Amino acid sequence: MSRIEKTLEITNKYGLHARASTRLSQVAQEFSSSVHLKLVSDQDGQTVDVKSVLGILSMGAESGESVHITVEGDDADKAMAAIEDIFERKFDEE
Amino acid sequence: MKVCEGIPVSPGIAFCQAFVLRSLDEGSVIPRSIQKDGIETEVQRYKDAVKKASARLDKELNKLEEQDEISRQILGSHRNMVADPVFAKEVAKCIQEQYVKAESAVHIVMAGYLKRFESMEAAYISERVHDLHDMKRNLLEALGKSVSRNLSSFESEVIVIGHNLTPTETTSMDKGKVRGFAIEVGGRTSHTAIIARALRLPAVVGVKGITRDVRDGDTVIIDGYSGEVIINPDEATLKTYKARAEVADTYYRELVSDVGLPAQTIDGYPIRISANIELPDEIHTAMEWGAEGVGLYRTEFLYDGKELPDEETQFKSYKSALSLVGDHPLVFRLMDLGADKLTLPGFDHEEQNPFLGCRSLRLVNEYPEMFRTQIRAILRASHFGNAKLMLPMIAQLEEVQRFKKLIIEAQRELDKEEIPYNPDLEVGIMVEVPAAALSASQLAREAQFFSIGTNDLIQYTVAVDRVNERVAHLYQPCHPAVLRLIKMIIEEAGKSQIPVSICGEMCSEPAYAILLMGLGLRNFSVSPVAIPMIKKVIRQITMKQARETAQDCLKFKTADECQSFLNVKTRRWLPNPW
Repeated sequence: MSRIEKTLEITNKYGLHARASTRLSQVAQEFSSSVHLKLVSDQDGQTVDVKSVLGILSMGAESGESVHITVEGDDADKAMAAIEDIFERKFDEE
Repeated sequence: MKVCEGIPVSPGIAFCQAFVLRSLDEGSVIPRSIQKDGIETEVQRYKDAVKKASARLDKELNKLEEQDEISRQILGSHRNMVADPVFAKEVAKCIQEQYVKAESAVHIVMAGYLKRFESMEAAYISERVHDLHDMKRNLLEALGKSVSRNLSSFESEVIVIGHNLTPTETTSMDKGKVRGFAIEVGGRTSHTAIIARALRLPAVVGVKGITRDVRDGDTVIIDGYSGEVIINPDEATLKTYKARAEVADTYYRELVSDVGLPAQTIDGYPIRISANIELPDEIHTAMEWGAEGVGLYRTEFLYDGKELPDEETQFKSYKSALSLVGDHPLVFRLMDLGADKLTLPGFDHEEQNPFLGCRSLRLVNEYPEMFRTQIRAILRASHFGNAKLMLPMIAQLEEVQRFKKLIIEAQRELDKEEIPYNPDLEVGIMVEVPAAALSASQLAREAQFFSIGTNDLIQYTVAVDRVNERVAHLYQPCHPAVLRLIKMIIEEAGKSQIPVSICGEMCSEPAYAILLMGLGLRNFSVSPVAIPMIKKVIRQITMKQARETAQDCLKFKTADECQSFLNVKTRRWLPNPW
């Protein structure tokens, strides 16, 4: 069981709106590890479960913002790699 | 007693008890308690509902075409939302801790999310809140609850009061019991307003705060002539309105029963009355009320704000419209998008001055395909009826030349493909920009007809946005400059021997119709609902009286003087039922 943390930047055009949130939650759901997200700009703010599309949407994260991701569990390595990948691919938006 | 004002969109007077339509999220789910031993059943019901909702959305997804990428994404997103694992946990927790049924739990948990979303930035919320409502509806439906708002059966007569009514809700209303409606949003040209007119239900829209002011069972009067909505009227007011309603309804019935009579002045001048059509359904009413064709067929209804209609869809729609008007002419106006109307997909330019910006035919540089497709569809339809094509927002001769070139190109294409069209299809222009009015003689060389669009012509002439309530009073159809421009357009058309008609809102109002006749117009295109009234007015005067009225109107120095004169002068000819 391991825990990995990383800060990633949202670079797609519309930020974490419906489509990108859906893709991100789908990716997180593929792993048994827990995946949580928090806005870097709002350290006292809430942490949401990335497997929940509603949770991600409720952050209202815009393009250009950075988020802090925490992955915890047996497949944490793979999960984090997949999350990084989907961020890099701009959530398959473009 | 309280009097509210709105926009009258469908004539008639109604008075009876109000039925206030609450929006779906408010109180549509009553908290229902359960016993401790019912918890498991409810948690399972929720799980089953998620499966059912997901399966239904999957089925819908499969029905969609591969290429319908946008709809697929939206549905896919909704599919993902109903299956949200965290939401499911929260619902289960709510059932366990609060001892409520699954429906109530969905409502309670969703309320928490909605609250969180409402603290966010405006544009973002409205979109997301919409998604959340959809998600809730999907789940509740799967739980077996009927969530569409039912207006299809009432026990007694009602006036429906609501924030908004969808066109589907409007058409589904209990025709025998619903006497009229008043809503908070919308305008003259909203689809709900159009359907109200087609159903002949008195309706007032844009009544701010009406759902707050009215309680179920309050007595309400709706005046579809003036736009007034009176809540809990006193005895005297109710009596006055009862009398008015009787006179007005009798009068309107008479008007409608007379629609078969020709629109001809006492001294024998015929006026051609055609209809402005917003939605294809309106053609039936218009023809029934004696319209001689369609003087303005708006084609924007084909575009849902997301995807432009393809050639085949347009062709079929145009062909069917032509079949409804028989031998009468039908004037198709090319897509007039932008400004206050819908913007195009991918068009995200900030417009500092939308009415002076990239709207209407000016979009041709960015969307050449859109116009090409539409021109082809109209040409193909022209083989099946008396079609004409109209170019909106023309300000320069080059624009007419450019579009005529596009039309010729489309004709060449169709020739090659051996698809039939009418090679003599007339191409005219809307004269709605002062520059076009002032250069009418040049434009008349390229255009085969003129149609005066008063809505924009007035707003561009006096530089007033009539939707802006702070300056709306300056929007004056009787402004000396406006009358002179109209007169000039008519004269230039006469000199160039091309037909001229008028299709703005102005000619749907009886007093202005008299003035416009007097200025020389013989072709009016009016909204279908105004046809019976305008025909009646024409039958009540002589052309001599109309000409004298117009000549007098041209002498005034100010719009106000002219307007008061016109009001007094035309009063005796106008249908004033009370």
